[in-house]
Amino acid sequence: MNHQPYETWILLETKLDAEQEREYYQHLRTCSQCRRLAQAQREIEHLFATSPAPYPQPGFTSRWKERLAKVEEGRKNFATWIMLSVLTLAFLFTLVGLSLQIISRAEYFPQLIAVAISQAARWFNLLTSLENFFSPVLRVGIKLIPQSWILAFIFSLSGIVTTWVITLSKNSISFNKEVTG
Amino acid sequence: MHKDEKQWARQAQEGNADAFSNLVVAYQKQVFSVCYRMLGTPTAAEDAAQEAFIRAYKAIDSYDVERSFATWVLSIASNYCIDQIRKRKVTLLSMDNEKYGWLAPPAQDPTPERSLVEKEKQAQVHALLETLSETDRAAIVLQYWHDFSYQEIAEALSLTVSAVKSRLFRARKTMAEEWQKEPLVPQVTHIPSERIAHESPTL
Ligand SMILES: [Zn+2]
Repeated sequence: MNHQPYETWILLETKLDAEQEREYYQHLRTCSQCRRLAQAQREIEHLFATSPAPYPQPGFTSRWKERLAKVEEGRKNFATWIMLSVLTLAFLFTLVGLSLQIISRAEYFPQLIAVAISQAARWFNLLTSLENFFSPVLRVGIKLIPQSWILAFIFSLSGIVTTWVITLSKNSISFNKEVTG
Repeated sequence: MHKDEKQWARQAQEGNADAFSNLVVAYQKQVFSVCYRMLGTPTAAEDAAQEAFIRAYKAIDSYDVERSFATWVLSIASNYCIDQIRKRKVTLLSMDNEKYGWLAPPAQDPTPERSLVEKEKQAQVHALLETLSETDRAAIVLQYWHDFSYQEIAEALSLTVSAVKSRLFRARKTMAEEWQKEPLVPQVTHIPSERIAHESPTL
């Protein structure tokens, strides 16, 4: 027996006109297969309509926020990692380029070394003369400056450093909050 | 779509995560429901629903606020579930200990008998959905429980309308055959056959 279009009508819940409806009932009276199909379809529909809606566990949104924060953190770490890799690569390229340059100027090596040594010697001389000049000044100066001044200087210097550290750490915390919140 | 929700979507597009979390509050139940029917366990559904909202948040710029947010986010969720089923071969029976694990709505306090009937129904729903391929299952879930039109299902699953119709036809036929094989019907869902024979399929 041909069950079309009745199967389609049943399964896709087609809207029927009067003529089709009459034809449909006519077929159902004679065809037990389509009758069973129609019944099964109705029962499934009823089951689906009456099966209770599933609910997520309470706190779904806060769990979602935590997950988002993790994802964003991961993204940030990835960006940092990329930046560091790029910097490292750039540094390595520069290094390679420099060493190639140096190798290509190998003939000037003795000259370069001589210049470097003479420069170093000049700096050493300068430092020695500076030390010779400053050490008596420092020795006398320390005696001349009152101890309370020195203490006040050290105290204010440490104060400035502490303020700097606190400000920096606060800034980085609020930055993190902006990114993750 | 609610006026507030449009506003939240616009704010989310400007990078406001708090505005987006209002949308999570509003649509968590629907998204969880799609994932639960697709994957069959509360744990898998929770994970998929969370991930669907993360994907929606990342793709919020591509969302057209003039269209339904539900349709948009549910299609993200169903596609994610389809991928999960394909990738990990998540089957409805994979986690036996929490199979059909039922989470009751917090407002209701079902009696043990009612809870048993509901669990039984849930098991029957899953047994039927399990007989379908992932795409057919998504089409059925979106149509039955979320009132998606053929057009909306086609857009959500990247199919043509005629492909959707033939998939739904095939899926419903498979389920009806399965239903007839095993008389899983509890008393509550029984409908006399004479009544059916005298009703038009549109009723
Ligand atoms: Zn027939």
